[in-house]
Amino acid sequence: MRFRFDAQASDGLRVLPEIPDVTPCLIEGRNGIGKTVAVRLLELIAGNQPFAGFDRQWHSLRQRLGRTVVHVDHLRNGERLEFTFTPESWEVEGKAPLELGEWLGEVNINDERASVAEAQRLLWVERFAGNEDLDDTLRRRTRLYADAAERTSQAVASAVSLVTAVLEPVRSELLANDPEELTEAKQQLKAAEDDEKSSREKLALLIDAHELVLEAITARDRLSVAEDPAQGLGERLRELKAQLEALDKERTQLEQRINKTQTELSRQGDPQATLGDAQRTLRYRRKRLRNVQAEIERLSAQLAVKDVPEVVAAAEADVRRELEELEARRRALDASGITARLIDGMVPFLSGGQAEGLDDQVIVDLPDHRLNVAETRDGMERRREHLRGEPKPEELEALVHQSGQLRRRLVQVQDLARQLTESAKIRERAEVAEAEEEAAEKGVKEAGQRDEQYRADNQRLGAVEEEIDGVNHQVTEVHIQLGLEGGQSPEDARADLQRQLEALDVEAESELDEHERSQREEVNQARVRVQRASEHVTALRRSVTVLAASIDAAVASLQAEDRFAWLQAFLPREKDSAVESFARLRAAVIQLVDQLEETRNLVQVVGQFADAALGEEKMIPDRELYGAVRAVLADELLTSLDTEPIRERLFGGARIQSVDLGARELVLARNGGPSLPRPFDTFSTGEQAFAFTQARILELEPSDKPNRLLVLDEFGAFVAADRMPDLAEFLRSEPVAPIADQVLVILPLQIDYEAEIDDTTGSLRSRYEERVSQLQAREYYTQKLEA
Amino acid sequence: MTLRLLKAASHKLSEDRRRDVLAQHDLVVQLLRVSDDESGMEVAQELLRDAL
Repeated sequence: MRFRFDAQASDGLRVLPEIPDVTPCLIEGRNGIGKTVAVRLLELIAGNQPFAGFDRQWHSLRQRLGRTVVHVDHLRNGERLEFTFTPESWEVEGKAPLELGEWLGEVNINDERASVAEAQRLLWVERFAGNEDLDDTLRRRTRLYADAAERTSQAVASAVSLVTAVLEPVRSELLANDPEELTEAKQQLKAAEDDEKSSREKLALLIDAHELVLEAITARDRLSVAEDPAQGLGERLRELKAQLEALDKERTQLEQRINKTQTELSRQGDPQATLGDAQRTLRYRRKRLRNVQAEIERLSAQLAVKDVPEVVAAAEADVRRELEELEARRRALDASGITARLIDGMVPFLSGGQAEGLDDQVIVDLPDHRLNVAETRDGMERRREHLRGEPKPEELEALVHQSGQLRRRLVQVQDLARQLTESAKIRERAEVAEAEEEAAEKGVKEAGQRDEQYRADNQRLGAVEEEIDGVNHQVTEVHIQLGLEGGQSPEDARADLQRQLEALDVEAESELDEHERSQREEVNQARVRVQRASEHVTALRRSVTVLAASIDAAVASLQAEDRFAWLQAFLPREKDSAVESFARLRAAVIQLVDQLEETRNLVQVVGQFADAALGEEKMIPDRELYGAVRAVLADELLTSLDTEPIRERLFGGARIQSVDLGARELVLARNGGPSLPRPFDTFSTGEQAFAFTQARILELEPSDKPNRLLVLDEFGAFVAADRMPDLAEFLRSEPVAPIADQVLVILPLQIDYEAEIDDTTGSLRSRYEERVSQLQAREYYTQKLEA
Repeated sequence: MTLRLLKAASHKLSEDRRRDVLAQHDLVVQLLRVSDDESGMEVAQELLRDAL
């Protein structure tokens, strides 16, 4: 192949004018005449990017190359290639592109227009730098990884910017509203409501307990008054009891005598027996009637209700009505919290995006008037404010107290009604008994069996029982005057008080006051707790309302704005699950934006790690990842170096056991032999570098392209070491032949041939004269490389 | 080259970290499509669908 360069370069950039069709061809020339530039241009035509990782050099070439034309002829099958570089079409910024496209230049093949791709398929060029030792090679390889990572990083950063530009407005919209807060606030509200309810129940229990103590204190105080001798009522009671005892004794005696007489009369005949039975029945019924009437009087006095059935029925109806009113009030108090929450849920609908512009539209149509959206919303908000803080502890407390009193009164009124009914029935039966008694009396008279003593005893017994009832009635009246509950006797009242003390777990009456103070204090503390719980619930209801409205507004904004149209498929559709859907979307968007940022950083840092893999560790932020990247690179370098040619020529047949990039050394091992660490720099002698270059050349896979050029650049060290014959022999060897059709060996000018020419003779002088002639003409010479 | 390096490096990391880095590797693959034949919006939709 012959290469001719029609350079249009500027700013000191030079290109070798010609490379002859000679192989192996030695080119020796002064520095700066464009030997390496010519090879770089050929690499570009062949589709290689020699400037990968050297962006500054790439742009320097772009700026100075001009429309340089490369003519290649003597190609296989006599083909000709003309390649005109078009640097004016190259990207003016950025990294050296790895893909070389049609922008690179204009192509003619055999005088016909062709593509850059066709030129790339025609030519294969591989350049080796003779000054590149093992260390340089490894460094170049790691640099390639770093460069690739940098390119990927740029692409990822650009993509992240585009995707983030789409996601960020959504994130901003979502970020301000945290459904977790709403969920948490709702949970707190539920707990606070439970706490409030529990506090109210405890308060009610404490109030009941306190009332019991107060009742016990009242009973104690009444008893104390009742037992006060100064009242004189005690003496009156004792007199009445003495009367009762005497009457009771007389009654017992009369009953015994009457029973005895009755037994005898029964033996005498029926009329007497009948009279005895009639009189006993009459006494019994009259006694029952008196008892019932006494109970009626007591209840009537206690309830302040006249003992007339119609009046009692009206009183019962009144009590029931009052109880129903209290019940309705209690339900209203219980419902106030639920109603407030219902309003909490409804107001956002009337103030959110869906209601925008509808304030004056009628939304409620009542028989007498209508309400528009704004009025309904304002009314609901006012009602909610009114309901907040209800039920108030003192209100509830009074309610509980009143209900208890009314229920007790109802029981007593019902009892009074029952006693009135019973009284009417007994009165009828007593009248029947009176008639029967009169008839029996008449029968005895007619039979002539009248027993005057028996008759007198019966009359007296009736009179005694009436007296007993009368005294009992007086006793009750005295009890009532004593102020004891239900007209109890002081003994019964004391027994009741004792039972109350036991129920309250109080040992002595004297402890009641202290107990009451303690109970009162507990009630007051419980009231404070209820008040606080109620305020807490109110505050949390406000928070829940605000947070829910805020989320609704955010969803409405996302649904309404055109810039979020792409997001519609992800927005909540069902109202019931809106908050959950919103929470999922929010978490996903926030996490995604964070992941994008992390991924951008990761790719960037991997490139930095690859670049820093060779040599001592520096300040590394992520040691685990750095270690992993380094280990992967070490594995890859080991694989690329542990080949047959390199083992034979560089390592004396030993295998590479491992590569330690940090210590910059290889560990070699022969079969059965010990491991031997070898620093990279022990392979940097000229001889080692030459062996390494030979090995790398032999590693090359023969290309399918029809025209293959192998270039050994910067090979001055070999000439200086007098290894040129070895090199020539290697390049003509059998393994190299399938790799390249033509080989160039490029050297810097080794000596001043013109100055040396006078000291030479024979063929050497002729060679020198030829070289001087070429050097004078174009500053370099070419010749076939001889062994 | 970088994706290969990233994937190979992930296999030398601890279990949790490997999962993270492999997820980021997949994210890089999706992101690199932005410059090819998909817009940022399409990729954002796709990523969000995967995340949800």
